Amino acid sequence: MANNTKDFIVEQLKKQIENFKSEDEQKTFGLVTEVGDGIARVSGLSEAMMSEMLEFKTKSGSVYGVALNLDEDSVGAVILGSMGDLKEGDEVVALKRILEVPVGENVIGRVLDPLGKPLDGKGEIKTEKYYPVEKIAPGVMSRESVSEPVQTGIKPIDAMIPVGRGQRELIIGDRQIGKTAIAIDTIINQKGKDMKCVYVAIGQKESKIANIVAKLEEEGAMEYTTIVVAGASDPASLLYISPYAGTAMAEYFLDKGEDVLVVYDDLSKHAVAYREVSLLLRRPPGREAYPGDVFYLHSRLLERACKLNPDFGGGSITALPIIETQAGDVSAYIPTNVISITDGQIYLEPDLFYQGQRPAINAGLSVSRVGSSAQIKAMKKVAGKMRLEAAQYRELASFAQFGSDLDDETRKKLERGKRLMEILKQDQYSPVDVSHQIAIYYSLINGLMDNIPVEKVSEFELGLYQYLDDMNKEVLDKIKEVGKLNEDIEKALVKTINDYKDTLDYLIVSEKDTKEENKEENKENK
Amino acid sequence: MKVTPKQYALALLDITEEKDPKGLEEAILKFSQLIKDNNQLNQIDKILYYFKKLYNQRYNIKEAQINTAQKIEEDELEKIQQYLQDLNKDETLEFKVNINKEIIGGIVLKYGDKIIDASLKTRLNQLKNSLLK
Repeated sequence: MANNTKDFIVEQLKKQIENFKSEDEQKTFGLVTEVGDGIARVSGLSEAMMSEMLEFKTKSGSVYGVALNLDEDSVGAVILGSMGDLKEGDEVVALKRILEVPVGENVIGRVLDPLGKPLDGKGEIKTEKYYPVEKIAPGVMSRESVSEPVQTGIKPIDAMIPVGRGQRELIIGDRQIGKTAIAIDTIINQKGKDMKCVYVAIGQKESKIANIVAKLEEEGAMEYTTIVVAGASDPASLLYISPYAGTAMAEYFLDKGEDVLVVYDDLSKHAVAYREVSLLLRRPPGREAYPGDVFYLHSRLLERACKLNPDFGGGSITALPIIETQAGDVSAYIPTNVISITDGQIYLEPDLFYQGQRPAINAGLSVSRVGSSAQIKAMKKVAGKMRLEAAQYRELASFAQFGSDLDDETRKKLERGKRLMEILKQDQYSPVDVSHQIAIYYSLINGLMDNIPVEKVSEFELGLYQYLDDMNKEVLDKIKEVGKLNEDIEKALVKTINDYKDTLDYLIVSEKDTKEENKEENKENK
Repeated sequence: MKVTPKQYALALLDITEEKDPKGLEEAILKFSQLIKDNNQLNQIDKILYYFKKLYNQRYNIKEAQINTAQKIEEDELEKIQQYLQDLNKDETLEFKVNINKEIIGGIVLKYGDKIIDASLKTRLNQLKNSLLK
């Protein structure tokens, strides 16, 4: 038996070697004239193309690079990965193809570097297909307007700044105020929603990435997620290509007609990496020392997010780029660029964050330019009123800060506004289902929460979700199924909420009620 | 303005064009004097590199390198040279034959900035990669 297997293996090997054919074709070659800082200058290579792959033959094996500058007698190239033993005089061969990454079902659940090499120790990626890293975005005729929602599971976003499938929504804010948290919560909430996710970490600390991977694994989100990592210690060239590589992996699913969510975390580091490469290649610096084509750098990337019409498969790529601002300065070069490219932004504010309003979304400065057409009808109905309520509260709150003498109407508005602000708070890693969101917003705008004490709101909220799930699951299912609030559903919803409130002991009892009770007691005493 | 090595090389090419041996010697002497006066002697390597390149360009000459692992027979060498000449009909080829043990076997042809790699080393590498897949 053992002999048989041995013979079999030998036979197979022989066959493989027999089938091996190699062709010697004519290639263009050059010599390295200058190396350093992750770039190389190469003489010769007269027929090199823009962003063509180059093979640098060093003593200890091949190193790969990409041609970025085509000059009169030389080619400037960035080296992908470590420089190895690369030295002056080494041979360089043009490979006649553009940089490609492996794509396919097998990349799901994996942690990869921007060249598609595994970083999670689970073995090589076995795929047949390779997609070019740079690709022209789909044209006008193949697109369609955004019509389906991406449920982020974050209450203020789904209600006020809705994101649609195929939209590009920027997440912007200072360091350490929860930008990544929003993206990760969104990925976690895509479970069972027919959505593939790609998370591209650009220049992040490896420890942070390790935390994210562990969290996603714990939540079962790695079943539909790919993570592309170009860490802080990787050379700038890898940071530069990583978002394009991540998008190429997403495009495979787009071509199959599926929906994909891509998170670029974050593009300010990407711009910095590109600035480094450009300056080393001696391209002239412009504003903030960025090269002239930083706008194109991001616009060509984000244009690849799209919603295709059914003739082209009907797939979509939703992009969530992240930008880190310095001390809230949104008018710096890169933030303004990316704001103008995207279809809206979610603006996170440090002041709100430190007041305990988390996620610290500034509803006034955040917008979504296409999303509301992607909300389900029921959400649109409650969110419209809610947004009005929030705006009125903000206006009154600043106005009523100094005066104490307020009329009943104003006080009522303020009280409801306080409860609304409580509802907008949400813990990390706990996305809320749409039907739950609709239920809580519905109870707020219809005054069902007016007699819940402000400090008990979050307790009430969680209790209500639990109660709805246990006692009246049909209503929730119906909301999702029908998509709008008709009379039957509203009635059932109000009844369930009131039933739940009857079980509570912390309701505020209004003065009128207490007086009546007192009278009754007095009568009995008499 | 600083004169680049390439401009020096071009000037050298121009002044040496169509000169008899005596005039050539004089021109070269003058040229080296100029470089010395301009304190550019440290650039001489680069100037010569560009001069070679420009000279070859002007007179349609290409350098062709034939690399083998072992010494090659005369008639075989002729065949290879004929093959390269056929690939570059319009150019005069300057042949150079090298022996390079590192390629193990086969042959590597280089001409201009083109390369035909038919060495055993490359093939073994390709075989290794295809078996690993």
